Parts: sequence; C-alpha cells; structure tokens
Amino acid sequence: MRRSSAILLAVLLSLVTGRAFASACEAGPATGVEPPAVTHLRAYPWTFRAPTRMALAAGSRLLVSDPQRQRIVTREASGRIIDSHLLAGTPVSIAVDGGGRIYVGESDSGRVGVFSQNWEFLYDLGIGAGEFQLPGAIAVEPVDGRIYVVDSKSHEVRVFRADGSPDFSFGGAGDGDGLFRFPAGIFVDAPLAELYVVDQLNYRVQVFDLQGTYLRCIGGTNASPGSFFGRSRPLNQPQGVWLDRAGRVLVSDAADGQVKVFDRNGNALATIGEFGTRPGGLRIPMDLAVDAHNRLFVAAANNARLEVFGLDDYQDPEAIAPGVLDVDPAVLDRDALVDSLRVALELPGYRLDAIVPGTLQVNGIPPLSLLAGDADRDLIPDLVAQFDAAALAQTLPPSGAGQLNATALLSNGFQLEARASVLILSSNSDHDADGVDDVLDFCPDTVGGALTDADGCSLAQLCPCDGPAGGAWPNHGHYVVCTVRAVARIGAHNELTRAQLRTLVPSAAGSACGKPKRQAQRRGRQR
Amino acid sequence: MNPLRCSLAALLAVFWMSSWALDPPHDISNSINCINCHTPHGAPGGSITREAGNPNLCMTCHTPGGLADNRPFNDADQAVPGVTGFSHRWDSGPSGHVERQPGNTSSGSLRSGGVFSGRIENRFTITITASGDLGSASYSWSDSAGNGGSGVAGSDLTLADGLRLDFVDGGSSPSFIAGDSWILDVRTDLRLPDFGDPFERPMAQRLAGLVGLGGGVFDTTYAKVVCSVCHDQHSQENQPFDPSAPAFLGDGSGNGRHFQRRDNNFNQMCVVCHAARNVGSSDLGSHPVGIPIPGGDFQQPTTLDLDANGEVACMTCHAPHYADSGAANGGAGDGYLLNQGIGDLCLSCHTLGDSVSGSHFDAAAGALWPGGQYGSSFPPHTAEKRGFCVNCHWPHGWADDDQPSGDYPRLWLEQYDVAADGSDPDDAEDLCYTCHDGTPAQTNIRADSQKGTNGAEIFHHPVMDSEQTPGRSVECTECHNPHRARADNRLAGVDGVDLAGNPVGAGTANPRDVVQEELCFKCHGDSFNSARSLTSNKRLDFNTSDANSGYHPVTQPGRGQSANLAAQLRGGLTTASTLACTDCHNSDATAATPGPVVDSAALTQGPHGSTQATILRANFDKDYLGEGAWNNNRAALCFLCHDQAGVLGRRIDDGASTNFYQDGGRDNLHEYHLISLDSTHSCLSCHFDIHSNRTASNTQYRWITGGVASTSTTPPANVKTHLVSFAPDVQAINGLPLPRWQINTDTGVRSCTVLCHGGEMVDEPYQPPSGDEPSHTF
Repeated sequence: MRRSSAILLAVLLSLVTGRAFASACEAGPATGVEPPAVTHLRAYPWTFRAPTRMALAAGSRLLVSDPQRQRIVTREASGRIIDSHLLAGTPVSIAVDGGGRIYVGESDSGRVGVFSQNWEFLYDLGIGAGEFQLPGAIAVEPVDGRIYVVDSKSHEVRVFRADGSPDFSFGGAGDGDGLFRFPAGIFVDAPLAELYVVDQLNYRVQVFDLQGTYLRCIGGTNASPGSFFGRSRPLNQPQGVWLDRAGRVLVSDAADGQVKVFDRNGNALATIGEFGTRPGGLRIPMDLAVDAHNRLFVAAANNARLEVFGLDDYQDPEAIAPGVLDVDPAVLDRDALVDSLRVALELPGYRLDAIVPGTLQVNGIPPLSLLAGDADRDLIPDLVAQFDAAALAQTLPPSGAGQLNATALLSNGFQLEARASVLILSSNSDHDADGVDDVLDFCPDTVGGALTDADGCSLAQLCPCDGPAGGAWPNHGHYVVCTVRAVARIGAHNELTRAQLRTLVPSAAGSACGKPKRQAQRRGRQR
Repeated sequence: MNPLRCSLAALLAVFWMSSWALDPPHDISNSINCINCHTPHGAPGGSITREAGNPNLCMTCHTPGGLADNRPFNDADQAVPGVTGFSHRWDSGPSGHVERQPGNTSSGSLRSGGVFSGRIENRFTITITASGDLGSASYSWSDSAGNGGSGVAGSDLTLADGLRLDFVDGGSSPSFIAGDSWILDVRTDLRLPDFGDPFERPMAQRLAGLVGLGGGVFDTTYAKVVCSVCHDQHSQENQPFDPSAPAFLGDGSGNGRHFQRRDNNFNQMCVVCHAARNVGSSDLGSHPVGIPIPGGDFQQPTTLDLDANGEVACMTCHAPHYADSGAANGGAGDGYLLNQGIGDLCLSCHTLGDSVSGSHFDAAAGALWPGGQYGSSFPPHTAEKRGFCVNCHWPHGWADDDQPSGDYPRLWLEQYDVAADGSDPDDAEDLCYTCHDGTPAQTNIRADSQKGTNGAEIFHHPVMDSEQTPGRSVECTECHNPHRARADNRLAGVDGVDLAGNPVGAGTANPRDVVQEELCFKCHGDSFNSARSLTSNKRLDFNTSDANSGYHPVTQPGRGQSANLAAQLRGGLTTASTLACTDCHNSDATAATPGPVVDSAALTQGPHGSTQATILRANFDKDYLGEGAWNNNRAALCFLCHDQAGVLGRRIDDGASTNFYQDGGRDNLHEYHLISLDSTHSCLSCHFDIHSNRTASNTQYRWITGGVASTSTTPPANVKTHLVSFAPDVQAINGLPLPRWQINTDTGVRSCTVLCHGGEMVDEPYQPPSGDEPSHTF
C-alpha cells in the first residue's frame, strides 16, 4: 500500500514541479468538420509479423514495413500483393514520393536508402549507415521533393534535399514548443504546407510549417492540476498520424489500441477501433493511412495484420484475397516427370471453407484431389491439392523458372490469388531462343530474334561479314553466294515467301562484306 | 483536494521518491517516468496501469520502431514448442493459451482456465457449431489424442483434464459464428506461483486474470503469466542469471540486469511454474538442474553458462527471450527456447557419444525417431533432427505409457529394460526395436529376436526378461553401445574378455575396441551357462596353446593345412583364414551366400536369432541318435563353408576332396558313412565337439610318432586331430576304454576302432591318396 501512495505523491510532485509534464496544447476553434462515419471492412493479415509503418503510393498502392521479416510488402487497392521485397537491414520507416521512388529507413544500420520503383538502389541520405540513430518515420514533400526524416532517438526531424544532401533540421530533446521526446510518425499536408509530427512521449502531435517553424499542437496534457485524473490525456502513446481529405487528423494510439480523430485545431472528434484481437480490434497500432477510396488502413503490429475501415462515403475495390502457395516438388524435370504435383495453399485471414468448391485452379487446371489439414506442420491449416504433373507442365515454359498461379473464388465474392515458382529442368531447351532446341542447334548464341535455318543458324552466323570461320572472303562475290544459299535454308525452315526472301539477298549484295579495304588504305601498298 | 495540502504532501513525497526511484533504462534517461504507464484513476489495467493487458503496455515501447526498438517483442515471437518462436509466452500458464484460428471473425472471445493435469502436451480445437451468444451458441471440441466433446457456450465450463473454458460475448451479435474456431495449446509439468511462498508471492501477485476474493485471497482459475510476473519493471536490484550483467550500485543503477522480479541467479524463477522439472537427478524424470558438471563422460561447456556456483541451471540450456535454438526454422526459432541448436546442445556437456563416427549420430543415415511403435506416445521427429540425441532421449522426460504417472527411465522416449533382475515389464528393448524392426532401420532385428521358441534349444538370444535364466541377463546394450556403434564396427564401445581371461574394452584397464569373440567370451567364456547341456567354456575352447589340436579357426588359423581341406573351403576361405563366431551363429537370412558372412547394411545379421536352433545360419542336425535317410540339408550349415561336393563326392574324380578317404576301398568315407551306409545321421557323430575337441569326452586318441605310440583321452598337443571326437553313442570295442582314433604321424595313416551303429571297426585304416597334410604335427 505504501507504494501506491508513493506513486500518487510522486505524481503530485511531478505536477507541482512541472517535471515530466509535457506541454499543454490548447485546442483552437472547431473547424466544423464532422466526425467520420466508420465501417469496419476487414482484417488483412497476409503473412505479416509486425506491420509497422506504411506509405501510400500512386493508385492507392500501400507499402507496409514488416521489420521482423525484413520486408516491405506492397499491396494494391484490390488487395493483391504485388511485391514482398526482402532487405538486408531491418526496415522500419517507409515513404514514397510523387515519382514513385521509395525511401526506407532501417533501424539496425541507421540509414535511409532511396530506391527506384523497381527497387534498384539509388542512393542513401547523407552518409548512409549511421546517418540517423533511429529513422522512425519519413515523409516526402511533393512540391520541392524535400525529405523529412524523423530521428526518434535524437529527438529531431532532419530535412534533406531531393538529391539526398542534408538541408536543415529542427527539434531537439525537451517538452517545449518545437522540442520532442521520441518523435514518431510524420505527415505532410501539402495543400496547406503544414507538417504534422507525432511527439510520442510528450503525448501530442506538433504542427509545423515546411521550414520547421512551430505552429500549434494537438493532444498534449492540460495544464490544470486535474488533467492527470481520469483519462483526460487525449493521447497516450501516439505513433502514426494522417490527415484525411476531410481535414481530420487521425492519430494511432498504441497504448489505447485506438485511432483518435481530431480536427486540425486539436478538437477531439471520435475514436476508431478498440483494443483487442476481435474484428476491428487494434493492438499496438503503429501507423495508419487513408487511401484514395477513403479506406483507413491501420498497421496493428501485435495483431500481425492491417485493420481496414471505410470512412464516410468510401469505396471498397477490394476483390483479391492473397494466399500462400507451396509446391512439391519445386523442381520439375521434364525428362523424368513425376505423376503428380502437390501444392499446399494457406489462406491468411480466411477459413479454408471460404473457398467455393470446384473453383480452385492452378494455371487454369483443376486439381485431382483436395485435402484440408496441416501438411507443413506449422499449425496453420492448409489445403493440399494434387495435380496431374503432365497437364501442369504443359502450362509452363520449356525450361527455367516457371510460375504456378493458383486462383479460386471465395464465398465473399473475392478472388483468391497465390503464386509459387517452380524450376523446370529440360534437356530440350533453347538457350538462344532461336526456335531450335539446344541439342539440335549448331549455332548457339544466335543474336536476338534472328531468323535461322533448321540448324539454328542465322544469316549472320552462316555468312559472317568478316569472313567464314578461320579466314576471309576471297571476294565479295563469295559472300553473296553464301548469302543466297543461307537465305534458301532459312527460307525453307521458316516458310518465308519468295517476296520475303528477296529482301534478304539484296541487302547482302549491297554490303561491303568481302570487299577489299578502302582504296585509300591500299594506296600505301606497293603493288 | 486542498492545493496547499497537496503541495505539502508533494514535498514530503520528494523523500519518498528518492528512496524508490525507477532504475535505468526505464528512467528519465529515456524520457520515462511514472505517468507513462500509470494513471491514478480509471485505469483499465491492474496496478493502476494504463492499458488492459500488461504485455500490451510493455509492447507500446518494446516494439520494432518503438522507444525500446533495441528490445522488441511481438506476439508472433511467442514459443509454440516444437514449431516456432524464440520467446517465452506472455499469455499462457498451466491452462495454456488460446488463439483464434485463421478466418475467425467472431466478436466473442474465449479464455482458458484451470490447471492441465495431463502428462503429455495437447492441442484442443474448439469450433462453433451453431451461431449464437452465451447460452445459445454451441461448440464442439477435439484434441490431439483424438478425444472430443461438445456443449453450449457458457461461462466457466469444464473442458477436460483439469481445464476450464470461459466464453465471453462480444460487441456484435451473434458473438460466436458457426465455423469459427480457436485452439487451446497446453503444456505439462506446470503450476502457478504460490501466494503462500515468500519467494513466489511477488510473482503470484502479478498474475493477470486474478480475481480478488477479499482478505488477500485470490481466485487464480483464469490466471496467466505475463511480463510483470518475471520482470520488475521498476527495479534492477534482483540478481539476474546473466553472468555478464553489471552490478547493482543502488537506486538508479543497473542498466542491463534484465529487471528481475526475483533473484534469478540460483533457484531460478523458472522452477516456480516449472516446478516438476526442478530435480537433481534424471531418475526423477527430467534433466537435472542445480548440479555441477560431473566427471567422466562430461566436459565443461564453452558456450553455455553455468550458474555462479558452476552448476547447471535452466538458463544453461534455455533463455526466455531471443532464444532461437541456433537459428532454427530460418531464424524464427523452434519454440524450445534453446541457447544452441537442439542437435548441438547436449554435446556441449555430454561426451559419452561418438558424435563424429557413431552410426546413430550420422546426419544422413542416423537415427530418426519414427514415432512410438510399441506403446510410446512420443510423436515422430521431423527430418532435420536425424542423428540428434533427441531421437532416443527427451531432456524433460516422457510419460511412460505403462505407468503414466511416471516417465520412462533415463529420459528415454520408450521403455528399455534397466533392471538386471528382470523386474521390468516385458516390453524391454522397445526403445531399440522402435527402429530396429525393419522400419526405419533397414533390417528387422526384432523379428530375429523372436524367432523360434527358446526351451531346450535356443533359437534367439534371450533378451526378454521372461526368458532370462535366473542370475544371468543379456540386453541389447551388453553387445552394442548405441552411443558408439559405428558402421565399420558395430561393437565399438563395449567390453569383453580376452583370450587370457582379462577384461578388455570400454571401461576396463585395457580400453581398446574388442574383437568379436572377446565380446562373446564375456558370457560364453569363463562364466558360460553350465546349467545347460552341451555347453563349454569357449574362451578355453579357442585357446591358442599347442594343446589345442583341433578347432574351428576363430582366434587363429586352423591346424588343418591340407590341400584337400583348402579345396573344400568356399567363399574365399583358405586354410590361413579365421572365422568370427557369427560365421556360424547368425540369422538364417545370412544363409543365402556361402562362405563367411559378408557385411552389408541391408543384410539382417548378427546372433540375435534364427529359425535354426542354437542360432545357426543354416540347418545342422544334431540328431545323432536316430535313424533316417541322409539329405544334404542335415549339414547345410557346414556346407556353407565346406563344399558339399568336396565332402560328399564319391571319389576323387567325382569332386571329392577330403582326408577321410580310403583309396581303392570305400573311397570317400564321408560319403560312405553318411549316404551309402544310410547309417550315421550327423557330422556330430565323429565331430562331436565342433568348436574344439579340447572337450572331447568319448575319444581315446592314439598317435604314433617316431615309432612310439601314445594314448590319451584328450587330444594330444602338437598332433593334428582334425576336430575328431566321437559322439556319446559311439561305443568302444576291443576292450578299449573309449572309442579310439589313431594317427601315425610318420606315415599319415589314420584308423578308427569303434563300435558304431552295430558295426564293428577295428583299426579301420584310411588315408587320402593325395592332398594330405604337409605334416601331421605342428
């Protein structure tokens, strides 16, 4: 009992001394925006472990960082997963600019790397590794392209030019205006040229102009002695912040398991979601984003899923349920084809009985049999489907990497999609893609797309301009004769018309192949 | 509240605060103070904390990207032992933990309570069969053992094995949707901290889900262990196990001491809940803790920590967080929370096994537990565990299917006989037989060990307790050391008795690898079972002194060096060869190939059992008393090495190759006696003491050397006697005391003087016309 009294008294002491007392945020006049109408749409688990930060790209694509799997996952508005990019470091923060470039902040190396849309590495901000202590969030300002990186552990926001060179920084440790204690999420309100930064351990969101000048704050703690009693502190562990198109400030509160909605001036409007694992429940909501369809996505790290809500008049183009496909065997040898091929399908977020019977196909081929169970013994239910390997092999390239695409209809009308790669081995392969199997190809490495004869040899290979192998053309005429014969062979193999054939010879005839060197060079020779 | 009084009280609180500071890193250095986690009024969690769910409160900072990004935790880290995970669970306890299955969208929830009383971990699946709310929804349940049940969703229901289920309505109706399911995973050997024990009380008080009954009494039915049970988030004072943790220098110090709720250096917090595993000897069903590393086949671990007394502790092998068992499962861990891979961990201290060359340890072909076949409920191991110790042992024991309140001895996965007096139940050797019954091991030793019916004659080595002669016992491990047996020497690591009668092998003063017969001499030598008939001391039978004049060549090449004998020998044998005991005493499966047994992994071999009595490779009629027509199967064993045509050919030009020959007379006397005369029925009639005629008891030997004749009832030293010794039914004649066999070592003429089958032979001479011994003495 004494300890409780001590806590209480310590709290009171803090109150009196102002110690550990984040600054007050006086709410301004109400902007008149209405609280949102909220419809819970779904939980979207995919294979996340701890979805942490999110970025919205063009077309309502959502990029989500999953640091414990070292991945950035990209999903489309339809729900289709189009990428799960593995990084060498531990990605925490993520941002996308207007040109589609991707910015990733890593917690282990303290770097922010910039990548192209296709994940080609472009450059690091500043010195790269060690530039930041913990790059917790990133935002890109769309007009000048400046990059705002929240360095949570150094309690500041560092601003870089579009080329990655440092521009300026603002912040610093403290609880006064413009100072931070462990800043987290960041959002650029481009139309009003304002910047929202979550100031986590000061229990507030601070608003700045794009040059870092403090404007106002949202949340915080009321200066009156009564503010610690009850739960009147609006924000407890704010993490992510987002402005929706209605001008509402949405803040995810990890401690309370809710998204809290304010107007721009800090007046509380509503809360979305609740703590828990139930549908609509949030646990450790680290970030949030509202897409162009007015759907709110919340990255709930400890529920290992994105929680999706519709705001006001939303559209829900979700139509795809991504699954996970494993294939056995993963290597198909066309020369020794097995009888059947099995795939194991896991469907995060759905019961397996949501698959409408008879709709499951892989590469358009229905399975021979289906068995629900847990084939890979990971305690997640899966569906094992057996396929005729020969039929599947016909849908795959002759050799090399092939794709198995599983599709099915779900009872909620969504389309299931899952992919797996197979490697096809074949002695009958055509490495230079000239249409003639390697085994029969006398001229390997035929250059891209050239027509060849039945031996796989193109005109350039049959009649090299520099001369046949090991020598030179005695004269131009020899070259032309070679060409005529080669063209005949190529024509026969490709069933070219005479008209098509006729175009090949004249170009040879008009070439300089086999002709002696320039007269000027010969002038120097003694005859 | 009067502000002035508040201020005064607050000033007094200054002194309180200084004596009860937050220790780093939960302190002002990280911008943390009381109000981060506490609120005086209206707190949804216990201990006036901010959030329902103690772990959730911790994870608001301890999450990737959070304030404690250097110590992140996520629900997906939690261990599912044997499957995944690298962190001790923070949502579980003796009643296990409940988890929604994929696609479960019910707004209602489920919690588990009670204490699981089963001996084997279990997974219950609870599925809603009819939608509804509390009182109207119905459910069914099933578990890993195949049990099941059903009921109506309600509060505090009985499930099974001491477990309780509590359904809780959700925000939307129906709270429970048909088809939605939950799993309940429970482990064994668990209890909750005890409020009455001073060490455990602070832990008990922090359990989640306690219901106060007043007067300091709590209902723990639905209690779960959470972060604050083991961790004191305010204080670094208590001593951690971690030997590299810094010292505590008073309030405000101790960053890196892991915020222990109780001292964890000895008598660790683990043993509060895992009390059943706090034992000092494996006889009590779990790997011992609190003991030093013994001498003998042990070594001090180099990468594992012992406690400050140098003793094994739980945390020597396990760590509660970030323990991925040597990056098992691609770094996601295997849920066993080990400091090393499960294949390497044991070998850090235990040196008993030959993990380099031992067959069982081989990564490609070694032991892989296939799941219990003879009663054990231990499930099959996954393929990557091949060759690991855990294919026979389980560090925390496994419930004995015959006596489920106890575990199998020696932390085995299955029963194996330990009591030399045969008092164990007769499912001994089941541990070995689980693999060595044809699957997955290539050969079926178990079938051999059960061949025939041991009685007057032995058909299989009596390994079952009920078959052992009182005072004598033999088990698989008398001959095979499972930790050291190698493909090139299945007898590595065992002990025996050498020719001199001294102990030899592992654990003796002469610790070399034993030769096969030395192993057999252990029981068939000086301590042979004299209670049985026709047994003898094989160590003496095969002694190498000059007194041993006729024997099968086991310990040294034989005395017989004649060309006739050499021509008889099959399978690559020569008169310089030696045999192993198992070249005669072996499974009948080895009869397909003549000559000595050629080792191959796919061949069922070894003197475990045979369809032929006395565990012989092939038939060998010992019926020397009766009558009946000869057929070659009667000596099939002999003919494996002694060519049949050589022994039984009529004449030399018929293929006969033998010294028992009367040229110009009866020709091949083997053929004459066995086939033509239709009289004697067994090789034993004249070769009665088949191992060595040292034990000959019915033969007078007479030898003439240098014109001087000598006699003896034991074979003469230095004179070749060709394993001749007469069976008891052969009678003496001519006033001799015993039937006589005679050889003139100068001329090479042998003769017999016997009364046999009514026939009288007096000085019947014989001598091969060619191919005889180069010398009749040695």
